[in-house]
Amino acid sequence: MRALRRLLARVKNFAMGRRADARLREEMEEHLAMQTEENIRAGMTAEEARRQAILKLGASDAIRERYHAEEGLPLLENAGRDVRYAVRQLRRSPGYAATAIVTLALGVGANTAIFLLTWSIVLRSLPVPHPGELVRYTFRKGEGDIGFSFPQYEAIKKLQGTASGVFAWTGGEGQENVRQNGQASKAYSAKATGSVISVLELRPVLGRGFEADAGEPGAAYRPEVMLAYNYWKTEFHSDPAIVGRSLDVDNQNLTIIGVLPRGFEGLGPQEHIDMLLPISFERVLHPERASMMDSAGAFWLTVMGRLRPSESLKQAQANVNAIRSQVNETADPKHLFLNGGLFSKFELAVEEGYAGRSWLRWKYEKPLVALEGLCGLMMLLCAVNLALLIVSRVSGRMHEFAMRNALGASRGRLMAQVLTETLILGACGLAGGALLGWELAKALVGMITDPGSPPDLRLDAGVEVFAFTAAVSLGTALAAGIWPAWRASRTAPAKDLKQGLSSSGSHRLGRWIIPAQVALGLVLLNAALLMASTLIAHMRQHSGFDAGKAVLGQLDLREAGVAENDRSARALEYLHQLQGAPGVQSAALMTMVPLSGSFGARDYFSYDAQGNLHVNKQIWPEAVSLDYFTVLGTRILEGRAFTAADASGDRTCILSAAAAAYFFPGESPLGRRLYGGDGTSKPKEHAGCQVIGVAEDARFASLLDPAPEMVYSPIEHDSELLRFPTIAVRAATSGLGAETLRNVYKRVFPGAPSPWIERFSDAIDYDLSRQRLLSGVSGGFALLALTLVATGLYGILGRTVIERRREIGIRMALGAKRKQIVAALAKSAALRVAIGVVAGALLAAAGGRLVRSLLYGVTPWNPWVAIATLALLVTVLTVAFVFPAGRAAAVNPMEAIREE
Amino acid sequence: MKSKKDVQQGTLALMVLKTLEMLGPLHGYGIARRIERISGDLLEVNQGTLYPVLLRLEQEGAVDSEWGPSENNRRARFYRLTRAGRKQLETEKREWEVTAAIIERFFALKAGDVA
Repeated sequence: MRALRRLLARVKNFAMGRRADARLREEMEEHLAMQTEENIRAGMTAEEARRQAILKLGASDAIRERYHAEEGLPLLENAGRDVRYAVRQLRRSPGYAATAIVTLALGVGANTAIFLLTWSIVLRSLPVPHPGELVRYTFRKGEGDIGFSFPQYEAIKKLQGTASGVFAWTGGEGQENVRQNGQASKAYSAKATGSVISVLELRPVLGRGFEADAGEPGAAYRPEVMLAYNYWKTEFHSDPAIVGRSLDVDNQNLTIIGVLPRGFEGLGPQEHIDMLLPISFERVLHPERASMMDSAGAFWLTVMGRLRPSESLKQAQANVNAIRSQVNETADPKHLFLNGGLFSKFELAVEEGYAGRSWLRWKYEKPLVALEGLCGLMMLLCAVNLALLIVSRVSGRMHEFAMRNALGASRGRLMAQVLTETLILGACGLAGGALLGWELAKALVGMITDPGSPPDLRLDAGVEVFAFTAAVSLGTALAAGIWPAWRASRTAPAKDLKQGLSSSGSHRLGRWIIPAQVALGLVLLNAALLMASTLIAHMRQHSGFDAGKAVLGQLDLREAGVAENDRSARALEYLHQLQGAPGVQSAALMTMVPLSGSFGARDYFSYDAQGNLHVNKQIWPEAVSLDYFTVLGTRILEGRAFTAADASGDRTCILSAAAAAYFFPGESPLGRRLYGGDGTSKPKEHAGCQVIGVAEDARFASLLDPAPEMVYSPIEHDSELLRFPTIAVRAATSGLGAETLRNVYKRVFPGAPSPWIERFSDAIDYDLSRQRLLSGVSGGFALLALTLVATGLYGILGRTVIERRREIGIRMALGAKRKQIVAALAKSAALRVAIGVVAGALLAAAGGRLVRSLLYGVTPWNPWVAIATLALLVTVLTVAFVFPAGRAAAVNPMEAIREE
Repeated sequence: MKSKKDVQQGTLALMVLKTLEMLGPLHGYGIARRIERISGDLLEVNQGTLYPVLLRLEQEGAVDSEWGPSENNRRARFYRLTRAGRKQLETEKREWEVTAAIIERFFALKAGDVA
C-alpha cells in the first residue's frame, strides 16, 4: 500500500516533469543558516561557523542527486535521455544508420511477406468458435485430395463415431445470377447441408440458420438463403429488416432467413462467398445433374465435422480406419467406383480441420514451410551483419565509452546506451520492414493466384502478423546488439583512453563472423539455384504444346442462352466465324482447358495383332475440332491429323503416343480400331473408332504431372461434351487473338457475357506458379545474401586493414613486399571462407531433406549446382576482397609508423 | 544483502517519525539536531541525507509538509506526522522491539543454556 502510494507519487512527478529542486535548495539554505547561527552562538567566527555548517550538511550535489532519485522515476528518465542521445548520435552518422536500417528492413520485409502468406494460407484458423475441434475428412491418393461424393458423405455421417456432427459443402463453382429490384448482379455462393450451422457453430448476426436436416435426403427443399455479412453490408446496407425478404437467385425465388457471422466467408482463405445456399438448391437448379449428384463417383463435396470434447484426432483416425471399408460398401454397393474401379486407390482419412479446406493451402503449404526456413537463415544473416556494423561502430567509439565510464557512468548504463541505439534501429527496421513486407506479400499473391479468376487470396495483417514482425525485428536488433553492448561496457578507461582505436576487435571478430556469413550465404544461394534449376527443368521439359501466341477462351453456352440440343451447332458456327475473321491464323474447339488441373477418364479397350485384349479405364477422352493440333502445337508423330472428311462417316481417332503404346504394343496403331467400354462384351463390327494418327504426349492436366494417355476424336462425334467448350485461337499477336475471339463471340451470341480469356503462355506460367514463387523468392534471398556476405567481408577486412595499418607499415619497413602483405591478408580470409563453406555444406545437407520434395529434375546433391554456388560465392567474395587488399598494399610505411 | 546505506535510511526514517511524534511539527534542521543530540556521535550521518528520507516519507504519506515561519522569522519547511505515519511508527516500533528482544536473548545465551 505504502509502496503503491509512493510509486503513484513518483509516476505523477515523472509525468508532469515536476522538480522540487527549488524547495530542496531553500530547505538546505535554511538548514545552513540555522546551523551557522548555532555555531556562532557556540563561539565560532562567522566564516568558520558557515564552513562547519556546510561540512556537517554534507556534499550538497550528492544529496540533490539522491533527492531526485527518490523524487521521480530515474530509470525511465534515463531511458528517455538515452533515446534522445541515441537519436542524436544516429543522426550524426546517417550512413551507418541507413545501412543498419536497410539491412534490417530487407530481412524483416522478406520475413513479414512470407509469414503473411504462411499465416493467411497455412496457419489461420476459420473464424468460428473452437476451430481446434474441427476435423476434415479426406479422400486422397498421395497428395491429391479430390473430395467426396454425396453417397460417401451420407455413409460417413451414418458410420462415424467421434464427431458430434458432420456437414458437406461445395463452393467456388462460379457465380449465381442475382436479381433484386430489377437489377441483375452476380454473387459468389457456396452450398452446404444444414448441419453446417451447428458443426461450425455459426451464430447468425440476424435471423436464423438452416434447419439441421436441410439438404439431407428425405428432407423437403426449402427455398432459403443466408447472406454473408459483407454482402449484407454492401449490397443491402446492413438493412436490419432483411430477414424474411425474398431474393431472386438464378431465377429461383428464395427467402432470406439470416445473415452469417461477420468474418465467415467460406472454408478457405481464397473463398469469399456472398451467400450460402442449401445443398439441395443444386438439384432444383440443375435437375439434369441429379444423377451426377447421387453418383458415388462424382467427387464434389468437402466434408468436415466437429469432434466431441472427449475425442481426439487420434481417436477419430482410428475410427475412420475402422469404418473405411464399410463406408465404401455403403456408398457404392455396386462397386463401380470405390471398391475396384477408378478410385480404388483413393483412401478415406481424417485430419485437422481448423483451417478448413483450400487448394492454396494444399498447393503452397510445403513451399511456404521451406521458404520460412530460408527466411530464418536470411534473418540470421541479417543479424550477423547488423552485429558486425554495431561492433565496428562500438569499437570506433571506445574512447567515448571509456570517457563516460571514467566520469562515473556505470557499466549497466553504457550497455543500456548501446542497446537503446540498436533498439531504435530495430524500430526503424520494423517500420520499413512492415511496409516492404506488405508490398512484397501483395506481389507474391499476384504470383500465386490465377490472374483470370477474381476470388483470390485476401491478406489479413492481423495482430499475429504484426507481433511476429515486431518480435523478429526487435529480437534481431537486440540479438545483434547484445554482444557489442557488453563489449562497450567492458571498457578499460586506462587503456582505451590512451589508444585511439581498439586494435583487436575486428580481427578477432572476423574469426567467427566471416565463416558464419559464408555458411549462411552458401545455403541460401544453393537453395536458390536448386529452385531455379527446378523451374528451368519444368519449362524445358517436353510439354507436348507450343504455346506461342495462342489464346484460350472458355465459353459458357448455357449463359449465352443457347438451348441444350443446339449447343454443338452454335459452337461450330462460332468456330467457323472465328476462322474466317481477319488476322486469325487458326482456331479450334476442344472439350477441356489444357493445364486446368482437372482430368477426365473413360474406359477403352483394343485387341492387338495377336488378338490380346488391352483394357484401360483411365484414358483421357478429348473431343477436338479439326485444327486442334495446329493451334496448340501438338505434333503428329505418325499418320495424319483430322481433316474435314473425319467430321462425318466412319469414326476416326488419334492416340497419344503413350496410349498407342498401351493399346498396340510393338506395332503400328494406324488403321486399327479402339473401342469404348471395359472389354467385357465383344464389340460389333463397325463400333469404336479407327486410329488414323499418333500425336506426341502432352501434359494436358498440368506441366507438373506426367502426360496422360489420351484419345482425341472429332468434336462432331462427341457433341455432348460441348456444354462448356474451350476455344483456342492463334493470331499474329495474342492481343489481336483475344480481341477477335471476344468480338466474334459478341456477334454470334449477342447479349452474352464475355467469355473468360487467357493467354496460353499465362496458363503455363500459372501452372508453374508454385515453382516460380519458390525460385523467385529464393532467388531474391540469394541476391540479398550475396550482398550481405560481400559487404560483411568488405567491412571486416576494411577495418582490419585500418586497425593493422601500423603493423603493416612496420612489416613493409622490415622488407615485406606488397605482394606478401596482400597474400597474408588473402590467406587468413581464405581460411575463414573455407571454414564457412564446410559449415554451409553441412547445413545444406541437413536442409536438403526439407526441399527434396519440391525439386524436379535435380537432387539436393547436384554437383553442377554445388559448383555454380561455389563459383558465384567465390567471385563475389573476391570482388569484396580486392578493395581492402588494395588499401593494405597502398599503405605507406613511413606515414603509418609516424602516426600514433 | 542490504547495503549499509539502506540500513541507515531505514533507521533514519524510524528516528524521524519518532522525533515528529514526540515534538510535533518540526523543520529539517530541528529534526537533525534532535537526532544528533539523542544518538550522540554514535550515528555519523551527513545531515543532508535527511532530506531524501523526508521526501520518501512524504511520498509514502507518513508525513506532511508545509511552509511556515522559522524561529528567526524566515521561511522553513515544517514536517508533521500524519495518521498513516503514526500507524507506521507503531508497527515499526513493535517490529523493532521484537527483533531487538530476539537478538538480545540470542546474545544473552551461554553455552549449555539450551540442552
